[in-house]
Amino acid sequence: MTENANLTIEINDATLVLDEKDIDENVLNILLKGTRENSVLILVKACKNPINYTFSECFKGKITILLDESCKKAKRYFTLMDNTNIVFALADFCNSKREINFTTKLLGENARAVFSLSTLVKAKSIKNFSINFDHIKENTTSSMINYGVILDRSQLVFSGNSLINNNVEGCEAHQKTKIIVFDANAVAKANPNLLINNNKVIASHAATVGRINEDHLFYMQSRGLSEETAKTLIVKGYLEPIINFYDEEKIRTQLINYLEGAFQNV
Amino acid sequence: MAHLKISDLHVSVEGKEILSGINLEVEDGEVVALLGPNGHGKSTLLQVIMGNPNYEVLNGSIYLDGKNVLAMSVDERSRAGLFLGFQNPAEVPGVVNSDFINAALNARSERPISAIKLFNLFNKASKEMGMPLDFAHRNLNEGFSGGEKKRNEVLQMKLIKPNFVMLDEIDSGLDVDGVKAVAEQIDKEKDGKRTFLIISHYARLYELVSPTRAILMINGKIALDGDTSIIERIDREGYEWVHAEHGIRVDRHEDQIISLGECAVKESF
Repeated sequence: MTENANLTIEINDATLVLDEKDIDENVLNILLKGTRENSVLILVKACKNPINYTFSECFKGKITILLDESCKKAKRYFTLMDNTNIVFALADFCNSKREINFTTKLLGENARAVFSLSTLVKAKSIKNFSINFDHIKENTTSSMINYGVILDRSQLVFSGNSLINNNVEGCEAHQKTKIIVFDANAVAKANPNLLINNNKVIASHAATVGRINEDHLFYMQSRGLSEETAKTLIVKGYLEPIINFYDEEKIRTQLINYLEGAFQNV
Repeated sequence: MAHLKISDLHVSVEGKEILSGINLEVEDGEVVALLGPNGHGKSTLLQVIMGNPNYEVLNGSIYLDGKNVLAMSVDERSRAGLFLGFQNPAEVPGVVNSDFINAALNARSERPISAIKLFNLFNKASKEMGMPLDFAHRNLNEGFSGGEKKRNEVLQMKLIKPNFVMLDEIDSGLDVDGVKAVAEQIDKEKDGKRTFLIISHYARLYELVSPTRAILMINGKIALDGDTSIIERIDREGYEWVHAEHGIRVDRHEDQIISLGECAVKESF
């Protein structure tokens, strides 16, 4: 049996599609090197072992993530070295069961991470997302923005865990979660956790879980929109902005199709 | 065609009767001023005609051009020609104005409207209403001033072209120029066939849109139905004379629904 292998990819001012299915299953550490603005799309596959992505010093850019339909469970680490500045975006609109655990380790000074996640949950689907930030070094910043729309009899749990260790100063941690519930039988939970062991920090969290506003629906229907059209526009309003992070036209179209079919039976 | 017939309409909200037997017939091309003190059922009447699910119809009927309005869903009522310009239009986060108008126009046309046609229609109407250029790309009423929201209601009316237009205090929240601009557009849309039912507390709007008839609602009923001299009299003297001359007491005053204005509107999302 081969030991865990490492893979190093060097990119500069470039766009890269990283399909985990193309990577040898023994590779559990992937190092991404590059100092200019980069755009990487990671296609997350179903695999038992967690994969650790490390972003080398001064790595900048956006990391868009898509979960494979068959990927029911995934654990990933994103380790950020000194002066990295990364925007992560994950749109998950397909109707799969999910148990996702993503941890961003802010291991380098001045590392910054923004994590945007938008998800649509429908039918009887159950989705659990844990988005974690571990502030290991000083002057690190993390920000999490999660949006969820849940329909039918589905369930969604958003957990945000921001840990600031006691020996690190000057960190910032923010969390924002918003879930709209369309049906009485749908269940939504938001668990915003800030674990702060140092006094010199800036931290905030906001979590809202609410029913769709009936006045909005009445207003929209009073202009002739059917209930389904009105609801679809509201769903798109919440979830469509994340699509702008994706560069690939094919993926954008696929994501929009999921939203436009949100109220069609599965 | 826009002929509305309401018979013996009783309506309650949260168990309390607000409309207590409304009988009203409005013919094609009429411009009707709907007056009355706050809390006496004017807005309720318009909301019920449009189909607000918060109101319970206890008894009675509403027919538009012979079609049973109470049997229709809200969107069917809109497509049948009814339009309500809201007193407090909803702010809908995330829904873009132009997408919303696009959906509203497509709901009543067999073929989807082209992007260019929509752009031209929207631009023309926005200019006429004095709306800023970025207005099409902003979220529906979100962050709009009171005046902008009202202008947006009239803009929607212009684009949708309903046969039966109900306007609920369309002039509140507007400055002098705003009232003039809105009134001009209403005046322009009058073509002798379309029907208007307009609530306002101010004679100024009515002066500008020249109603053909005035109706006074008191205690959830129609107290007076006549010519526009009613508007002038109420503007001069208030509602006291109604009791003295017609024996109708304005007795719901203490129960009136008080609007605290924009700052008190609670929005979930």
